[in-house]
Amino acid sequence: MSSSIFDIAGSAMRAQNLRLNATASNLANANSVSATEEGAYRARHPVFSAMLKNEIGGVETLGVVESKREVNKRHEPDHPLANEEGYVFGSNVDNVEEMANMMSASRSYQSNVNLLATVRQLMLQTLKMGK
Amino acid sequence: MIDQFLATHANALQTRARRTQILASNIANADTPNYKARDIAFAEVLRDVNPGSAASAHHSKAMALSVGSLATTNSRHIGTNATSNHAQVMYRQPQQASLDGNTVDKDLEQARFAENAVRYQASLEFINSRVSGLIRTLRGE
Repeated sequence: MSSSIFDIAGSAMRAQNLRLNATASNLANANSVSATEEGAYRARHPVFSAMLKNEIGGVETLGVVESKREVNKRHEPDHPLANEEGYVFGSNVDNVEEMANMMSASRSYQSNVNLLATVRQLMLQTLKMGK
Repeated sequence: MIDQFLATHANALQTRARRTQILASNIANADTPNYKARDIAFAEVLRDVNPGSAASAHHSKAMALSVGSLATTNSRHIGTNATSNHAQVMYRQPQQASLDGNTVDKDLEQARFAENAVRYQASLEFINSRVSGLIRTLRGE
């Protein structure tokens, strides 16, 4: 049995919302610095997957993965967080990528809101059938 | 009797509802890697449910009688009450390949969804007018 349209669109809205959250976190931490390479902020992205492989269904999030891109190592001896060699470790967030991600996520979210509005209207009309 | 009176439109409405679900799933998975867009061929479904619909208007009477069941061309065939719920779902041919293996074209899917919603309303409208026609006949107005 496949899931209802409200579940499908709802799951997509939840997924896109998570994506927007991750983007917000990434953009907020774009300029965070750390004293160690391990402690540096790495961009986070959710991984989407179809709920039911061969049936009609919504979308689920398998998890959030951290970007494997190299972190931004800078030589700033005056920085309070600099290590003995004078390096600080910035995030590996790509601002352009995050902005593109944000636009894509908000467009997808809107699509699903529109879809829900249409389906709701259709269902209300169906309830009035034969009157 | 009333089943046959409404059959074509009831079947169409069921298929439209199913298609709404499929298109919703496509739009929901627009950003899912390796998701393949799906759809049902509506005309074929209706032809299966309703043999003769492709024929000319001359056959409209014969068509109305066979509504709701599969045609049997041999006496050993088993007649079925085909419901449009069993419409075969097929994968869409992508117009443009994408790197993550997703074949959903968001704009196209939205256009199809809008079209499907209007046609759903049309089917609903047909059923409504049939029902009100029936009620008017019963009242003898």
